[in-house]
Formats: sequence, structure tokens, C-alpha cells
Amino acid sequence: MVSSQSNHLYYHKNPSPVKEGSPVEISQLLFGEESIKSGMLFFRDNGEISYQETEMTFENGKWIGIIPGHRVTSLGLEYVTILTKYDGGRISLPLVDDPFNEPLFIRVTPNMFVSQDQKSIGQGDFAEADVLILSPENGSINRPGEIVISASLFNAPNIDQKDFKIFIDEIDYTDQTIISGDVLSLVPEEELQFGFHKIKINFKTTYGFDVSPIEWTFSISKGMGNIAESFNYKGSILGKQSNNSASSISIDERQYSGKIDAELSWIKGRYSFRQSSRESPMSQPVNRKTLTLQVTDYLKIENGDVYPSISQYILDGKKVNGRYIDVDIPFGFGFDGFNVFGRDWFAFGMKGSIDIQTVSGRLSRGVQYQKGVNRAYELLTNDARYDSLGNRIYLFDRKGYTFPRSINSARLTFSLNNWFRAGIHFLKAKDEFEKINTRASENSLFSVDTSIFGDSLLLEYTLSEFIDSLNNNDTVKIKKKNWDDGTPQENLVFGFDLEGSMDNRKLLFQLGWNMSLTNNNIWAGTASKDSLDLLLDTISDGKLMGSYDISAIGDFIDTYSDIFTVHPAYMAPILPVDPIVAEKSSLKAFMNMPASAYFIRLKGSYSFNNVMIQYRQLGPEYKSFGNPYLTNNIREFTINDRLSTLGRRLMFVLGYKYRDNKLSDLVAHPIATRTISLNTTLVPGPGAPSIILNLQSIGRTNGIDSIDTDQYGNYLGDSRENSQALNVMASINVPGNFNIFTTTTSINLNSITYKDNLASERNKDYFFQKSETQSISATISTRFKIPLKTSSSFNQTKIFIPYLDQDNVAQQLINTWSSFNTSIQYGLLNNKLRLRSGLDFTTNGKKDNTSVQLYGAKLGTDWDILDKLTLSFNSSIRLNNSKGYRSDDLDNDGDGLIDEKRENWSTNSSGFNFTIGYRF
Amino acid sequence: MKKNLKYVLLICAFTLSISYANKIAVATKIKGLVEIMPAGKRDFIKLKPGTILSDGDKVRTGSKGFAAIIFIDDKSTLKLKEDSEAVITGQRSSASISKKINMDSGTVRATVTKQNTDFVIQTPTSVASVKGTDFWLITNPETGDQIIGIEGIIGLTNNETGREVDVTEGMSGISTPDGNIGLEVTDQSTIPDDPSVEIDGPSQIKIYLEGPNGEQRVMVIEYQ
Repeated sequence: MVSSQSNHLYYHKNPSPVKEGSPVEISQLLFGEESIKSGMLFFRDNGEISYQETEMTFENGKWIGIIPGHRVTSLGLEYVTILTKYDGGRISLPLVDDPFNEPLFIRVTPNMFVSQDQKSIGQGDFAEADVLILSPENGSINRPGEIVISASLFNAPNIDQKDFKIFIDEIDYTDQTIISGDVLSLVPEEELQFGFHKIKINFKTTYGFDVSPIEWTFSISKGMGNIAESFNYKGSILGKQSNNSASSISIDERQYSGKIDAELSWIKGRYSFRQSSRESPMSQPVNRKTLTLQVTDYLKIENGDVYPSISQYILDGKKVNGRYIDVDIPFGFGFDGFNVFGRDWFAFGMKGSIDIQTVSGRLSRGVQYQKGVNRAYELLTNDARYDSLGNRIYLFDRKGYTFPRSINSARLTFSLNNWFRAGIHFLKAKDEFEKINTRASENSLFSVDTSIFGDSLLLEYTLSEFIDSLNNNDTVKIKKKNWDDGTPQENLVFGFDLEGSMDNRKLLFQLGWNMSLTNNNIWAGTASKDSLDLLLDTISDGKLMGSYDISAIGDFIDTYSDIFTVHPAYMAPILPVDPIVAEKSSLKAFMNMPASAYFIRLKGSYSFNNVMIQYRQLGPEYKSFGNPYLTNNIREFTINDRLSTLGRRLMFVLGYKYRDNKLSDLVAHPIATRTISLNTTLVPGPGAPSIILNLQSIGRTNGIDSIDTDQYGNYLGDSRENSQALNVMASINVPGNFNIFTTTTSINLNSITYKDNLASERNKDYFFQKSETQSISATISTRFKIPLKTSSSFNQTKIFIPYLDQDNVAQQLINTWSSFNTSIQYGLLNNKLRLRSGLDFTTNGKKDNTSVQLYGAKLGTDWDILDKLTLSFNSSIRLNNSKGYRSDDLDNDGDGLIDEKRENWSTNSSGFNFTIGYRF
Repeated sequence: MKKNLKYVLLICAFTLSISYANKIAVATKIKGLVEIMPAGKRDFIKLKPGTILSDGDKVRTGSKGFAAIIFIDDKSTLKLKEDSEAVITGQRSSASISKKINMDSGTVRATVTKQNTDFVIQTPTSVASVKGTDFWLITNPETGDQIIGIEGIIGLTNNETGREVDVTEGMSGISTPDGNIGLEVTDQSTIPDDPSVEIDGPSQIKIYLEGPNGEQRVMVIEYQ
């Protein structure tokens, strides 16, 4: 895990630590002349295996992605960004070969007061209390004006009846509530609106511990005669015009978006859309539209752009253009028993549910071709050939396409009495290659090598122009398949999971198993008998490996061609079980199937401890198109304990994790990491400083235990790795309350250092290639009694990069990035007009020609023209002072002058946008 | 002087007993005229929804009145229909409340959860003791009591003779001031309407559903 990143391409400040439940902004400021087409932010809970993805937008000269607040949990976050350039290249954050395996990390501070808003009933962090809901009944339908909210504390003597909060739809009604003689009673002064309402009561024990929030729902409805009155709706509509320039590329965009929520008694609907002028059939869709229909808690239908979650191992939040249906059917039955001697014999009660989820649609849209030269056709110059009459045949390849990828997935879950749950699921995804036409647009250009027509210049032709240029009998042939821009693929994944719970769900046992089949080239179709015959040996004997009659196998795989295209030459895995391993141990072969993924987990929540013990393994060939960023080829053992004390004000998280990739005996040098972590968080309460101290030690070995030598034993090199990383993070947040203003001051320190455990055994010229990082940041935010808010922050990151000098002596390059920014907001006209401005400065601290200095400014305003109608304007500019441009003997700004005055100044990025929005 | 002191002590004890009267129930639904005479008071005042009731409170309903009262230990419910009068009493222990309803006249529906404590309705004519049941009681000092069993068993005892019958589901128990007591099959037309589930206007189909955590939902389809 990396904690911060800045390099020659971009500046990025890790937002760590952040507060639980608050949205997190990930920003990336590019220095260079990179032309970025789009950005994507991937994030996940710390230690999870699959990423959620969200689009990034270009704002104020930075690429920005937002992690929604509900995904920010005390587990911490890992994230990666991928910026895609116009030329198809990509820039990752962190800038490493495999960013998804080395994501950046954000510490999350448990927000004791926000976390109570989360539905956490039954979690071990809360004290137990037997609170009886008296009124209204959970899920009941009530008439307006007849609402009495009441709960009994008769059986909950441990509750402090003076310290409670009650919310209806997140609005605090505590002031209207009384508790007398163990009874809580609330009659809202104002009549509640029609529709669903949610009640939540937060209690504390007499010792000050938080009690599991009491939550239930009810509806307010009238008869059909008043249907118009019971129809509620709300929504917003937004128009945005923006212009952003970066790296000499200017993007104009008009965007319209909106959403409407409507509710009629027990049915809810939502429609949201986004229309952008950037939408193009030559790229994946930017527009979005989703229609959601929900009937109580039992039926949910989403249509359009949906983000379903079927299972973490097959489909978990990836966008699907199609339909998602979730039907939850509760059931219950029981027997009152025989009453003998005042006791009910053989009495039992069963409650449960059957949940059915289905997904159908497309994971990606088909793109026929792209704009540009050789982005639709490519002339295969070296493949031109002559026919029997001596005429030339020019062969063309197709380029720039993306296959539409269809997806069908479903899950059936059965649960019983809240102590048992089982589910089975599957996913099938397939590229519909037949929907990509062989012929692209007639206007598409391709380059023609000088060897074709003997011209001295490289020329660009359309297909018709090229055909016109040919000799009479020369012909053109376009490949109908096996194009070079990617093969169509197919993926089938299936699996199951189980959960058993005991002791009122304080003890959970979970188990899951999945397996995938992937065909990486379905152009080849189902394997023929001949190809099977010669698959694993070279003897054409009608038998596979000389043992199995392929005629039977051939028929067998043909039968399943509608389910999966079986072709061992392109399949992963070819065989689900390694036959060589199976000969030695069937169990070992089964457990280490290359395309399987499974986990076994035990969770306990007792005495303010949350303990988790988990083993999971994902084979190297396990793949799900519904969750393409799964980390596979790992086996991992984790044990951690989250301990809460002082009413969740002081928390410790102790953890140990072992991970390696030795999933097969063939892995001679497994890479293994051992992580020990201790996270401490003290949040005494509102108005008091909070302190966080996190320590993490990561030991890493690569399984090589000897140095490299030649045949004579002479030293060649040392590939052994046995390193220890120590990551220390400290943070303190101090609130201040003064006469006319309040402040929040935050200071963060972070350090990553490495130690070579084999240092004493190394040769003198051994080069230990680990970059160390130190960073410090401070932020002070001030809010005045007048409508004035200010915020200033300073950040400095030092990266110590080792390198070898000309004499092969290890040296250390220190990159120091410093940034300072300040912003101010002031409200006028009774806060209807809010003005914002800000300045920022970033430098790499160099004084020589390699210096980078970025000066940024932004200005914006929000104006509430009418009630609920708001006009916003934002603008920004960022200037780059490149000192070296004044002395490099180059015309860097293209004005015909070399190293002239002010040539060192250039505009890094600029932009403005107008937004008008109306809420209704 | 001693006499005065005795009065003072009595007044203090009385006041304290009122101040610390045990809270035993809450009024969750009120329709029409419903009044309460708090324990220790002499006047009726209007009963408001959400009022927490104490041991000894007297509740009466007007000609179109209706009140739903829920006990706080086990969620047992009393629904008083029009022209009814009842004193709600309950002895609190650490585990439960022993409930006794003194009812002079009127119609009440009692929905009692399974319990091992007493739930007794005392009328001038009878005593109905129940354990885990749902029933209607219609009492009139002149004509006697009628108990309509909806669910479970109710022990009905005539005060005059001490005779007792068990009233079960589908049966009605009759107890008269002259000491008669008997059972008969319930005439469905005699079952009172429950105002708390009455629907004004269009008809409804209700589908009751229950989630895995025991949460209950009702899907209501309304039609004209």
C-alpha cells in the first residue's frame, strides 16, 4: 500500500485521514502536456478484492473523482485512478506497473456521532437494550394526524432516559418527545407528509455507551379518493455549460441532468438522466439514464444504467446498461405447540425470505470504429499477396472497434430465521462480435506505406480512394475476423455462498466458492474433433492424450455451445483441475483449482470486540467480466480485531495479514507479504481534539534465497528480497470555539520507510530500490458568525528515490513537493449570493532549470435567483512557470522566438462553467 | 397538634403516591371524545394521543369516541369503543405488569400477548381472566356481559355465583347479573367493528408480509 504520490506527471495529495461517512474527493493535477480524454476512479474497502468505479471530471484544472460518503467506512479505503489519453495511453495513480495491486490508501477516522446514523443493529460496538416499539407498528400504514410514536423502556433499565435522540426521516424531534415512567412518547407537532417515514432512536446506557439504534418505518396514506394528495414528488434539473483547456486541448461541454423522485403510497419511483454534448458513438457512453421502481421492500426494478451487486466475486457495482430486478419474498410459518402443564411443547416459528436478483443488459456498448488515421482500417502492407493471375490482393485489418458485451446474471438467496443464509449465483458475459461490421465508415482514413505505390510520401487514403488508385485487376480484401484490436471473449462464472449465525448474529460463519470459465477468442468457435485430437498430443488417433475418445467429447461440448463456447485452445482453464496434482491429492487439486475463488470467514462481535478470521484464495485464472478488477492469484490469511472502549471513543484495530501467490507447486519464488498493523483512534467527543496514530509494518519476501552466480560461482547479482516497510501516520484534529468564529485545525504526518533485512549479507554494490516518503500537512478552516468561511492548507511531501550514479554508487534523489492553498467564501444579500475565491501554489522546490512552479486561482459564485433556482459560475486558471524554458534554446511557446522574456510562463489549464439548477 | 401532623402526613403520602404513580400504558390512538380522569384527580380532562397512562387512570369515551391503549411491558392492547368507561390499573414488577381493568360499562377489545402475568377485566357482573388471547367484552351493568372470543381462551367468572366458563375462539360467553353464565356460538353480526382498522371510503386488499428480521409490511391495494 502506498500512501502518497507525486511525480513528474502529476501532483496528488492523499486526502488521508478522512471522516467516516463523509464523501472523499480524489484530485490529480497534471503538470505536463498530456491530453486526457477521460478519467476513472476505482476504490474499495481496505483489504477487499474488488473495486467500485466512478467517473472523474475535469474541474478547476484537476481531475476529480468523488467517493460517496456511504462507502467511506472505518475499514479505510484503497483507490486507484486511471486517466486515459486521447492516443489511448493511460496514466495511473499510483504510477506503477500494476496499480490495482498497489492501490493508495486512505485512513478513515471513525466518526462516533455520524456512525450512529448507520444501521448497525446487532453490531458488537453497541450495547444491547431491550426496547419495545409500541407505536406505530413497523411497516404499518397510518392516517395523517394520527401518528403517535412510542417505545417502551420497561425491559431496558440500563438506558439513560435523559440522554436520547429521536429522528423522523433524519429530522430531530427530540425536543417534542417525552420519556416518563419508562415510556417514550412523541406526537409530532406538524402533520407528517404522505409516504414512507423512518424513525430512529439513539439511546445511551447509564454508563454512556451507545445503544444499538432503534429503527423502524411506517407509512402515511389516505384512501384512493385522495390519491392526488398522497402523491409526492421532488427533484432537480440542472444545465451546465463549461469550457476547460488543458495541455493545448480545449473541451466545450453542455450537460443537462436531472432527477425526479415520486412516491405514491407504497410505490416509489425515480428517474435520473444526464445528457452530455460529449456523447459519441465512437466511445463508451457518457450519457446516463435510469428509471427505478420500488414496491415496498419486496420488488425493485431498475432500468437503464444500473449498478447491481450480485456477489463480490462476480458482479459488484459495475455499470450495466440494462435491467436489474430484485424480488424479495418473505415467508413465515410456525406451530404453537401443545399446551401441557402450562408449557407449549413442540412450538416453533420459522421466518425467512427468498431473494431473487436478475441482471441483463450490456457491460459495454459496441463501437464500430474511431476517428483518426488507422482507427478503422489498417493496410497490412506485409500481407499483400498475388493471386494465380498475378494480380495483387491487399489485405486490410479492422481497427478501433469495441465489441458490445452482453451480460446475464442471477442470484437466488434463501434465508431462514436470521441464522442461516445460502445463495447461488451465476454470470455469463459474451462479446457479440457479429454486431461489429466488417465495413467501417467510407470516410475512414488509413495510411499507405510508400512501398505500395512507390510514392516518396506516406499517404492517407479512404478505402474508395485506395481502390481507385489500384491497377485494374488488383483487389482489396478486408479480414472478416481475427482482427488485431482485440478478440471477442466469453466468460461464465458460477458459485455459491453460505452464512450461519449464532448467538443473535454475534457469531457469523461465512463461506463462498466460485469458479470461472473464460474463452479468450470465441471467433474460433467450439472446438472441432480434429482440434481436440491434437490438443494435448501430436498423434492423430481420435483420442485426447491417447486415452479419451474425442468423438464423445466433441458431441458433449457441442451440446453446451449455447451456454459456453468450449475451445480448449483459448480457454482458461483448459481443465478445471490440474490432473497431475490430482493424482497426488484430490483435495489439494480441488482447493487449488486455477480458476476458482473461495473464502472462509469467521466473525465475532463480543464485548466491544469485532474479531474477524478469514482465509481466501483466488486462482490465477479466475476472472469475472462483471468485476474485472478483482485481485487474483493470491491466497491470504487475515486476522484482525477492532476493539472499542469508552463508548466507542477510543478504538484499536489490531491486524495481521499474510498474503502470497504460491497457489501451485510450480511457483518457485512466491512473493509473500506479512502485514502487522495497529490503528489507534481517540475521539473524545464534540468540541474535543481527536487523535489518530496508525502503525503498519509490512514484511515482503520474494522466495529467492540465494544470490545469482555464474557457473564458476562468481557473483552476478542479488535478486533476493526481504524488506520491511514501516508506515507511520499520525493525525490530530483540534476544534476551536471563539467569540466570533470557530476553527478546525488538522495536522497530519505520514512516513514510509524501508529496511533491507538482508543488508548485512549484501554485496557492497547492491542497490536497494525502495522509495521512501515523508509528508506533513496542515489545514485550518474558519467559520465566522458573519457568513464568512475561510480555509488554508499546507502540504509538503518528500520522496526519497534511490538511484545509481555513473560510478554505480547508490545515491538518493530527494523530490520535495510543496503546496499551499487558501480559499474564502462570503455571503451577501442574506446569504443568497455567495462569493468564492481561492489561490494555490505548488512547487517542486527546485531553483534550477528543473523547477516546476504552478500558480492557480479560482473564482466562483452561487446566486439563489429565486427560491430553489440557483445560478452558479466557477472559473479557474493555473499558470506554469518553467524556469528552464528561458535557457533551453528552444521555442517552447511556438511564437517564433527562442527563450524570449516570459517564455517560461504557460497556461497549464483553465476553465469556466455556468450552471443553472432548479429544485422542485 | 398531633391531629394536624397526622393530616399533613396523610396529605404528603397521598401526594407522593400520585407523583410516583406507576406508568403502565400509553394512549396511541384517539378518535372522537375521549377523556381521562388521572389517578387521584376528580375531574375528567381530554385525553390526547401519546398520553402516558398511570396505574389508576380512568378513561371514558363519548358516543363516537374510541381509544387504543398499549401496555408498556408486553404490548398488550386495549381498544375502548364508544360509551365505555374503564379504570386502568397495573402492578409493576421487575419483569411485567399485572393488569386489571375495572370496567363499568361499554365495549372493549383486548389483545393480550402470551404472558404469565394476570390480565383481568373486572365488570360489575363478571371477571374475565385471560392468558394470551384476543377478545371483545361488552358490558352493561343492567344486562350483563358478553365476551366474544377471537383467539385463545378467556376464563369468564360470574360474580354472583362464582360459576366459570372458558370462552374459546368462535364462541361467546354470556354472564348476567342474576348469576347465569353460559356459552353460545358467536353470531358474526354481533362482533363489533374495530375502528382502528376501519377504512373510510374505498375498499382495500391487504397483503401482510414479514421480512427475515421479523419486520412486518403491509401491501395495501385500494379499490373503489
